[in-house]
Amino acid sequence: MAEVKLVGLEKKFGDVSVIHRINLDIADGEFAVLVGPSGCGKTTTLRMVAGLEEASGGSILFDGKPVERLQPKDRDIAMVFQSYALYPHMSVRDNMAFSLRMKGVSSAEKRRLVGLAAEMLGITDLLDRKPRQLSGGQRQRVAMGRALVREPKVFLFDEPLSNLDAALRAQMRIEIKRIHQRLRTTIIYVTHDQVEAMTLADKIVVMNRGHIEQVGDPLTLYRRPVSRFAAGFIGSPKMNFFPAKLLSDESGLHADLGDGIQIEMPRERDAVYRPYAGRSVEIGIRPEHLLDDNRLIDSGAIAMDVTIDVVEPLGSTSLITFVLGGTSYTAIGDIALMRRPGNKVRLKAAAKDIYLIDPESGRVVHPADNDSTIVRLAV
Amino acid sequence: MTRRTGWQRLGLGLAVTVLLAFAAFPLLWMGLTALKPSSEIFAWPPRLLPEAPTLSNIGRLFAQTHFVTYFKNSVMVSTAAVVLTLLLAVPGAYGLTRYRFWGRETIAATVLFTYMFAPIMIIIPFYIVMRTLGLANTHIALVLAYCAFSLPFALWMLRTFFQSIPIDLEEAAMTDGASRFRAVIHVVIPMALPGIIATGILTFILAWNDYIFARILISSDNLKTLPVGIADLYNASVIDWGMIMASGLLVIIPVVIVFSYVQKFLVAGWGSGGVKG
Amino acid sequence: MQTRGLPGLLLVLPALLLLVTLTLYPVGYGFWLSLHAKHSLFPQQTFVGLDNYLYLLNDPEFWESLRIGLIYSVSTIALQLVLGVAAALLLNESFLGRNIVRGLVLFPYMIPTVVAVILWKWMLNNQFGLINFGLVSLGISNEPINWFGRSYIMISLILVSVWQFFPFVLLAVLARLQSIPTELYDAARVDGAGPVNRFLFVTLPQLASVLFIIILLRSIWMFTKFDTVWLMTQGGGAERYIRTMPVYAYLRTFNYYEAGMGAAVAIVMFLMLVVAATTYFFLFRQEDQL
Repeated sequence: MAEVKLVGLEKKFGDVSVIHRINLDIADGEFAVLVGPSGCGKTTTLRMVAGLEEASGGSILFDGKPVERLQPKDRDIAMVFQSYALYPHMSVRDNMAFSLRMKGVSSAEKRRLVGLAAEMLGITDLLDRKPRQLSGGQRQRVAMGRALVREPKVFLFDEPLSNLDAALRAQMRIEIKRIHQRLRTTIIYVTHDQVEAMTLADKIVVMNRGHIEQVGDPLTLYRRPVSRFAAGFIGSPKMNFFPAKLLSDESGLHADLGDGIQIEMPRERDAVYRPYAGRSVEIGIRPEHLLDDNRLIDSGAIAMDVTIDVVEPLGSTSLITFVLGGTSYTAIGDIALMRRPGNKVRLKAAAKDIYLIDPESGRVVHPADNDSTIVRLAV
Repeated sequence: MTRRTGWQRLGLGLAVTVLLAFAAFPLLWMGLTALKPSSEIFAWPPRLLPEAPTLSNIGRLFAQTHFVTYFKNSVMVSTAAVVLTLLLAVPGAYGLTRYRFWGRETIAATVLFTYMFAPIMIIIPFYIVMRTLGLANTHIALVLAYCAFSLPFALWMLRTFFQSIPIDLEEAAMTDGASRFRAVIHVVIPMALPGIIATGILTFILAWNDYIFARILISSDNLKTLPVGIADLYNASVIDWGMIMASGLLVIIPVVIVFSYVQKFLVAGWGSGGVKG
Repeated sequence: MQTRGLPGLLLVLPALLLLVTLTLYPVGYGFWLSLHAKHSLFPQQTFVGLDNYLYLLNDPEFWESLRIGLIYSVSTIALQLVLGVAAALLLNESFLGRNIVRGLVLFPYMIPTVVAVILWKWMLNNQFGLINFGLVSLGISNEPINWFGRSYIMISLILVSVWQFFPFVLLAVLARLQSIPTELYDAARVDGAGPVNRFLFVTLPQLASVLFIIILLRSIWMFTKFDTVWLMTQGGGAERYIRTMPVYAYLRTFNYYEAGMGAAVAIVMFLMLVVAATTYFFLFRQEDQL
């Protein structure tokens, strides 16, 4: 159990900087997920915390003590690798006991610890098998068992679920969450899958090109993304970004999306948005907030009339694709309405679900914190 | 990968230097000696580099011995061996890979099994057989011997290469209208070219370097290949070291050239069960 | 799409035919020959049954050749292995100029045996050789050593054989080392294994299958090696003392002109190899093999 702090952490390969002085605080027992596209630096960061990569600058602190000069084995960490990295010629039991063997732990103690971990993961009857005799999901559990046995201060996971099929992935996610709830060890988890991030994390760290874009709990990241990148990365399907011109007239601010579509900006945010009047902006609306649904009739709802291009039925809802200004956008529709390509529909979104983005800075312009439309989540 | 400490780097550099010195220096020394005049060769203490490098040793080699003839013979025999081996091994390996027939695995295993019979075990009966056929003291006998010796390895290596080429490619070609034969020529062979070249080169080296078969099967001086010719040079009454070193130098030049091309393929061929570079 | 097998068989047939006539037939003929007394140069022979073998059993030269052969083989194989593996580990690390070094280190294996032998005969020459110069100047020896005399010939022979053939081991081991996933080493580091433990528990088990084959092949080849032994020992005065079995077989055939006897020696070698290889397979076979 430990608190992890990254201070000005940097990584260079020759002259090329891949991690640019990042700072991060992870509380004791917190489940932190580093998420981002390939090449964003999340795995490099994880490996530096593990000690498998040497930091070019800055420091890593466990409970206030710097560890960046220590070997992996002296940092009291455990790691689960993407390809599990099980020792092929050893039995599951020996795989799990290997680190204990390196420490010189007695046989009795080894048996006890391995037994406990095996029981927690449900692999007790696999203990005498060899890795090549196991399925992907079983190997995953063994890899986790090998990490559990060490009772480390910090657990590190490097995209552990990427090699599993969808059903297994969903199942293992729950297992991992259960283990965290039970053990309350600090976890740093790397993934490129934002669904994993959202479902598992106490704290999500969105990374992009060696920088941290945003840190926050899942709901905050979902509702108040700080940058266009974060807004587009979290949430599936991806947020719609409509290029628009922000215009001001007697009735207030509205955005012109082209093709005759105009959106009225919520009055409460006038003060925050006014500085952008007359400029090109982007309006962000998540597909799940853009509804072909007559039930949404409250005041302050924006509306746009569009022609449907493609309909993808999902079961209880459908994904509607429409084209505006040459670009495709997505909305959610009521499947009972049986929409077809070519139908004209009126899509509505609540005022609170609209985001204004400044394309130059890439920042999302947020109203102040006391906006009643933002819900605070007790963590 | 964590950076190495200064001590570790020093140790690594030292070890590599020692290894390199052990493996490569003797060859270098041979080359340097070949270019030294006699006075320097026999100087004591010996000096590393020639002060007055000379081609006289090489000159004497060409003028006073049949070195050139031996060289010619080696080239002819080795090339013929490569051609014959590839002509037999490429279709053979393809047949072993892409077709299922009774006894296939047995044949594959037996082929490798022939390597249990080292040259010395075969050479005596082989010699008698060649003698009976009237082929003793001919280049044909040598070519046949080299081919027989390279075939098992060539078949094994080419089979591995063919196995790593997905059959989908041939099937795609055949769906595109090519006959099986043309599919192989236009698709498979080009893809297996590194393996074919590597096999050809290894066969060449085997033939070029062979001593025992050439010694036993060839008795006329004008048919001798290089290894035998050079060994005989050495056994002459007065040893002309400069000339001998020169002969050694010239003999290995083709190997060096050919080898620098094939280096990467060798490693690939050996580990072609998943080399990660 | 591995269909109708016949074309496949036809494709292999030419190669097979050549192998059978040029390898298997001579071997069979060799067996037959060993049961006859035959002068190497004349076509006639007489059937003598197992007489040749019985003669060998009582022949001190035969037993001596076996003894020398075993000493030679075992020493060279062991040293080739150690040097080859060590060199492979070394060349698996990354450093500047690694590819060039990798190429250069393979040269001893690529050159003809003749060249290797004359090169070392020059280096080990008792008057002008570099090695003796080094030994004397460093004070390790008082006077130049005769590397080709009776006392030292085995050492020179082993030296040259190891020099010539360790790259074979190096090549095979290096190729295998490069295919070991680095994540295994990462996991071992996290688990607390230092460099030695990583070698013992990750590297060595992964090398087991390659080493199995290498030991087998090198044993066959060193036990039956003729070129290096013959060329190194001729002319130094120590020929009589270093006759390995292949050399003995050669001498029987081409010096004594007893082809039948020579064949018998070769057959004995073969049988010994078969027995050894079979035992080896049973004892050490790896499950994930060939």
